[in-house]
Amino acid sequence: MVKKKEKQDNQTFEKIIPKDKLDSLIKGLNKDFKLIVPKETEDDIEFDYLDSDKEEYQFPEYQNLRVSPKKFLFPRKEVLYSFEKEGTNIKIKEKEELIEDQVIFGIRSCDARSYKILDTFFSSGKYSDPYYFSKRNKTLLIGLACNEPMTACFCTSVGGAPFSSEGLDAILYDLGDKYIFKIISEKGSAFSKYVSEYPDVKKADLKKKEEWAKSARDKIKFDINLDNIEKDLDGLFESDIWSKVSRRCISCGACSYVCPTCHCFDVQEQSDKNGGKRVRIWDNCQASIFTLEASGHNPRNSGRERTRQRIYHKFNYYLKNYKILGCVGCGRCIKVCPTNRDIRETLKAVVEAAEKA
Amino acid sequence: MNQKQELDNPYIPSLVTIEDVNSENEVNDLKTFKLIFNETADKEKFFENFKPGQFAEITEFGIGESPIGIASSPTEEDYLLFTIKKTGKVTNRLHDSKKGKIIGIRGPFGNGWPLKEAEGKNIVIIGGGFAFTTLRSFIVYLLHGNNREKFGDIIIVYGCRNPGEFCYKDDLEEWGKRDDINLNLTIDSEHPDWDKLVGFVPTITKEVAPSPKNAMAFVCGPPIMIKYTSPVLKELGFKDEQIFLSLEMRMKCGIGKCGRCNIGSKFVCIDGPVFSQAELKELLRD
Repeated sequence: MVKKKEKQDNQTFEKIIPKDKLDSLIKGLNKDFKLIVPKETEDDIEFDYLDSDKEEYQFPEYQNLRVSPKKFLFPRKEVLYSFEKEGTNIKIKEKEELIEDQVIFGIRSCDARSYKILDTFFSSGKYSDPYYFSKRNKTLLIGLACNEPMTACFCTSVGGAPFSSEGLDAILYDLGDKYIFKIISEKGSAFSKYVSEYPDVKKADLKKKEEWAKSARDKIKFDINLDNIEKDLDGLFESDIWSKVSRRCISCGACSYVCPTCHCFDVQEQSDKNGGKRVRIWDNCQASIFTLEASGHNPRNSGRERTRQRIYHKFNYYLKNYKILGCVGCGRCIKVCPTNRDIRETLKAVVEAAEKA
Repeated sequence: MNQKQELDNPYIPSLVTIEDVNSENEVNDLKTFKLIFNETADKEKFFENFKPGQFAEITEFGIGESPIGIASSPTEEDYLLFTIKKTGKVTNRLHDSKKGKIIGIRGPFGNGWPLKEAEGKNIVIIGGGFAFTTLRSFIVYLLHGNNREKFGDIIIVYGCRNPGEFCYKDDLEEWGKRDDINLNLTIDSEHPDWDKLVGFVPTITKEVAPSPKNAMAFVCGPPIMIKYTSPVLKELGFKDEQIFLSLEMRMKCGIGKCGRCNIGSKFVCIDGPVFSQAELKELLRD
């Protein structure tokens, strides 16, 4: 039943967008949505708000961006509230945020899946995170399927794929000379009016898309079966592999800062004599101060415990608590690590150690 | 922003006023703060979910926030008590605070002591040092009004280094006069001003020898005390399922979001701070 419905939707909402019409599609969307797009900066490509005065938008050449777009929902630094001192009195001012409907345009499949993970986490338990969802509920995602995965990519080992539409509201498939624009979610049907003028997709286009999907998938060389990773890790908490895989770690935390699913934060106070603000800022579990207690005791005192924490959090605790993996295989942590540590090597070591155990 | 939204955002503290400050120990690094809610609505919201064994986040505006166990019982309806050791920036500032100062509070957080499961059982309470705070909340709750008859025997072992370190001296004196609780106070070594028990908490627990039959044990104290008390309870016949501990970890948010207080897959702030010994054995622990 569900399958049949999907098929109907596919037929209804798959359009062909010529490459030279991308700009007009974007301009159309920009009338109703704030747009976040990949933009060239001096020495990098970053997601940023579309500069609508600019004459024509084209996708810059990118495989994936160095920094994930999680900052648009979970900023590096975010004010939780501010307060004023009036004599001995305190007046708390809740943050008033005016968030317009926005679209992240050109997000890769791995990053879209990371939002599903963040959605699950920030809504879990008794307390939903109001700051995350004030932005998330106003944000739609239009993906750009990944024709050229990077050498560090391993999305296919963690349940993803370069052409995955999971978590997206709509997706663009780049067929070389044109795009297929496909609406994925119910929310994404809001986009139909911006593409209605374009021709429907033809069978030959879909075939071409499948070829691109296969060629992209084939470019990912790393393959590991993580079906048993939760159980594997259950038995390896005290294993000596943690000393080995953490040996080169300098606890800089770069892996956490670029990770699209890392969500731990610190809470800090900024103040002067008249008042101040409480802010939260990205934090990272690789720093020793992360768990250092006032008494001086630190339950995760060395790289061994901290590396283990990062792996268990994503590959064991997430499965236990939410039945999902906490990693999307984007490969950013591998590319950014100053000592060339590779999470794929760690996962290999885990699986091998579990086989031996 | 209307009042409801303010209350619904778990990151926004309610305002409370320091009504009283009481130094608890001779060294004067331990003070109990009596707090009154500035707004009745905030108080009602707080007390709706408040159980002994929970904690709250205390804000010194402009300095920061600290998670502190609640020392008062929900049966003490008009105020909250927090016994706070002078340790870091927030607690230092609190110790300098005088009556009338406005501070912030978020909570109550965490699961608290398992009150429902404890009904009809004999209660064994073992505490050491100033970690007695949420145990005080529990005891006050047990002794309140009709609550006492819902529980069996109450045996308390409370130990400190020396007589000057005991918290809640007025409460201890009052409890000592009652014949429906068995209160055992002990200090580590002989002291001229002390006529009660002498010996470490595990040793005294062994001597008092509470029966495991239809009993639950609630333990709170420094790690070293817990380390040596657990085997004693085991020897007395207590099973891991009958022993409950309250844990501490570095925390920020108190609501399971900031990601640092996990023990294995559980967060101390929302899944704890109270865990049974059996639960803790199941968790992968640093």
